[in-house]
Amino acid sequence: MSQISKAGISRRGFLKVSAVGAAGLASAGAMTSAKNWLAPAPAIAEPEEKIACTFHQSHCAGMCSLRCTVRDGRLVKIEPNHCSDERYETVCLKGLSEVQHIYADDRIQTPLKLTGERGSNSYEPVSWDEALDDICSRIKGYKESDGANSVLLMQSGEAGIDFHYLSAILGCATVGGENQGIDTGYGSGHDQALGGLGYGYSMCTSEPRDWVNSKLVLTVGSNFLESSLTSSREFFEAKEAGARMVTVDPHFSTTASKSNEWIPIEPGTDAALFLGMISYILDNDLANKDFVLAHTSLPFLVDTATGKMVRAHEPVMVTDATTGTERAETSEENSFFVIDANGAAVPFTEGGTFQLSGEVDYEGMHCKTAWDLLVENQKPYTLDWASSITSIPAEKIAEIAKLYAEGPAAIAFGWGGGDKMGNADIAGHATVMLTSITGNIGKPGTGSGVWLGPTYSGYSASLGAWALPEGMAASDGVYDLRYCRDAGLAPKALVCVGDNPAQYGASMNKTKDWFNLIDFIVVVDPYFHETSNYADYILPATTRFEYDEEVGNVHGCYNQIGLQEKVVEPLFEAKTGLWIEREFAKRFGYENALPSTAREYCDAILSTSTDPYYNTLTVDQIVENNGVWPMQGIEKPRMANTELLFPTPSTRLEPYYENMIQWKQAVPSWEPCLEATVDNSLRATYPLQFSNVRSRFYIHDQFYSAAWTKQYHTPHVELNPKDMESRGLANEDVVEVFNDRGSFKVKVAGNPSVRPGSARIIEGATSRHLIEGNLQNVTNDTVNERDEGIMLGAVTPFSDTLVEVRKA
Amino acid sequence: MTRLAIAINQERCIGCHTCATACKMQNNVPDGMLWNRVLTEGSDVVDGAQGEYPNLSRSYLPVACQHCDNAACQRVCPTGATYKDDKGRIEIDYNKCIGCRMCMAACPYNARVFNWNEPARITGANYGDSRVPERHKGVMEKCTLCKERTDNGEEPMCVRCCPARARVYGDLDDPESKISKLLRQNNTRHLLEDMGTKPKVFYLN
Ligand code: SF4
Ligand code: SF4
Repeated sequence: MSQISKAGISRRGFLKVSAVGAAGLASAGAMTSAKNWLAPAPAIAEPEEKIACTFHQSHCAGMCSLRCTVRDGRLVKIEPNHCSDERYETVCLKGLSEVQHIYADDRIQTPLKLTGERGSNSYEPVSWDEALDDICSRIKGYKESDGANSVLLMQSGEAGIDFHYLSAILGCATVGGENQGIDTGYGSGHDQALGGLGYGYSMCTSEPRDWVNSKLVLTVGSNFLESSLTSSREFFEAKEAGARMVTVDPHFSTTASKSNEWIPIEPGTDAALFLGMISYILDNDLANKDFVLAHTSLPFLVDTATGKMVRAHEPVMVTDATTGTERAETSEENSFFVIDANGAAVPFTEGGTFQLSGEVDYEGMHCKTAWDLLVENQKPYTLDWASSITSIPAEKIAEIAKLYAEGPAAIAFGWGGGDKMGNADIAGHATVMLTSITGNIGKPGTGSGVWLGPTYSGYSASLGAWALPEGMAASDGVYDLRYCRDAGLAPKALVCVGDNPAQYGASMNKTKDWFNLIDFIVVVDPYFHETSNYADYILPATTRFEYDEEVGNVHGCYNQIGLQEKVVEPLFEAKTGLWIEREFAKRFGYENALPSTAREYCDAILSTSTDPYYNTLTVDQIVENNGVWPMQGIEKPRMANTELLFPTPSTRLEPYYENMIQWKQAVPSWEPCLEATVDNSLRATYPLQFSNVRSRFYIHDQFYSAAWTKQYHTPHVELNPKDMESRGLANEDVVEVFNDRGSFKVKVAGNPSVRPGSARIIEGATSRHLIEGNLQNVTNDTVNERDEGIMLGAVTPFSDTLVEVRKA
Repeated sequence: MTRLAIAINQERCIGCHTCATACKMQNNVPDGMLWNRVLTEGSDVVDGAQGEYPNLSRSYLPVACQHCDNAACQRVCPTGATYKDDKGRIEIDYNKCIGCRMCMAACPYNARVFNWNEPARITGANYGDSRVPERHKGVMEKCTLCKERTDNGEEPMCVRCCPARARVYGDLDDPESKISKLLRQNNTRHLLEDMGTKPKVFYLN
């Protein structure tokens, strides 16, 4: 306490703290400031107030329902909404900051047309009609001359809440749902064993409310208490109920600091930790063999010559009778093989008795069980080996492995940590192997995957959809940004709703070169961002707080249906997603294909649900209920995978990946990360691993212009004080972060929470909010060699990057 | 009697600044000022830590007016502008404040902020609760325990918005209140206990 009173409470201490944020309030002054645009509210005695609700970000998946106060036409106050259960009454600093942020100087106020060179930032305001006529005729022109796939729409997940039909209206190419290289590192490696449940993002867990049933929650590379901060309550409920919260992270993250234990780890070595845990569990006979026999593919026989599973016949793809889509054969259609009680190879049938371990010759093949191959493969991955790679003491790995095997235990990984390293797929595969050998799945307190974002792990409502006319659809073209930049493969026209090219593309100079290959770039967004710096047209969209009708949207939020009401009229010249889509539709001959009003859309979403709970619900009922409606059954936490039936050929967990044989990854095998290895000779020039992490302050590139948040945080690269000292750096110095790919400038801060040998920055800051350049200028864009085999392709290894930092 | 108070569970506080932002919004706090600040204890950078890697600890310390029963600010105020009200809250009568800043110097928690200039708001307009009175140049301000809300039976906005549910509000004189029960069941501390200020903000850790 006495230390606090000196360091924290003394006036100097306070002043120091306040000084961090004192900068930044000066506005950058893009176009007219909000102050000038909006006349100050007159000081009348009785201002007119109204209350309206809306829901917030899908990108953090909080989707908090917000109760907003509007005075004299301005948003002045935000509170958590009144919900069926106080648990859902949440908001965070970002939600509250919208009182200022929707009026921020970074808002695009009017349609803008480029008048000078690209990148020159010379634009003139034009009318919506003029902009739309020109944009649509140019897009049509490209489609005619170069085909539909010469036009590409990139749309962020957040924008997808407000824009539903743009790719179908434009009939253009997209980036598809796969191979985007973001958030799918661990997930792809993990979800394959679940037959794709989790979609490659590992959104396959129970709700964090279930953690109260865990003995161990092992968080690895996820800053849960910042990324998913409205779920912090569930984290503490579990901790207070006795769950051991253990966080593995190279840095002393907020989540690490609130856990029972923090285990520091060398970046890019998560997989080695898990492999060490697997060895400990196998060597000490802690595996749940009954579970392995009953629910996994590990007892199945593998041909040792090819590494392929033994099947009744060579596997072929079949057309599913009910869905009409292509799929792999089930085990009934093409048996797997097991060793029976007599030691003979026999076709696998569910419920039969068979052995976990053994060798057998069958039809000229020498076969072993997948389990035995796992055990053999694990031989080099001893505790001491794992310790030498991860820098975690061997006894600690043993202790965690033992706790995990005893269960019930959960492994919670994320998207902002080890997921951005080039070997994340192996780490993901190793986690699902741990799940498979211990049975920590489908029961209370268990599971592995990403718990971030309560909307993802909570209940879902089977809402309906607005049907588009036959044939109105995106074209078949799919662009993969990870390759098309190097290949010089660019569309003629690019339409961006969201900042995808800059956010998804590591090594920004390649993205800039790619922009130069594109004739025509259109950006639609509420805010300026990185890609808008390169746009030929910039169109202003509304935020979730503005609408031109009383009701704008209905959407599934965390365990409740949320309503978007008009809080304020569209600001500036901004238009709603539906209005913009209807204007495009008119010009593309789809005038009548879209809902004519948002109300019509909302009514359809509810009434076309196949579930009577939702198809009898009306918008008016939700309006009367404060704009929220509880989903069914939410009294109990949603539990995942309780049936232990997976959409795999055998309906079991299948952690043996025969499609990965050529990379020796049928069972997870150690490969180091790509660039940020400890012994990379590049370290001589670029000694620091560049860690881009997620935080409570921003969501990707959003909220950097929230002035209130700037009181607490402005972009800084953080180094361990030792690394500051050896470079002669002091807090608040402007530094250059650089490597052979490029550089950017930002302020520096020393923080002992940062692992020595790393430079940490919060991801997403664009050149608009850094001193110079974009942080993607330095990030690693290498696609790992296993790309073709990985479920959603290799992840972009943003943090698998080496840099040096010097005073600018 | 009523003695309104806040307890902050530091074990649960994740340093998210939601309470600081909620307070700023609700009370129309001008640019460059905060009534409620979230400090990282013993660190001069946000989200820093004490110790050397990897032997680190971190704790967040939200600090606002401590609504002291024995308030240093009140004792030095020459006009009676700073007073303790019937609910135990330390309040400022903005009409009586002459801007002498004696209270600011006296407050050991540095909880008070002064309007050196006519207050500016980046939004270009007032925000927050319309019941909150405007302040002008030359006037002191600080946490009122959301007077306008707590007078009407609502929780302070920082308590309402805290995502970790680290904040508990209530009446110390009501033995059945959530805060009274919490204080009976837990060890708590005050900031700068030895100054004898007898705060009504309690810290659990
Ligand atoms: S950013 Fe996320 S957690 Fe914060 S208020 Fe919005 S939806 Fe809620
Ligand atoms: S809102 Fe709650 S958790 Fe966040 S800083 Fe304030 S007290 Fe701590």
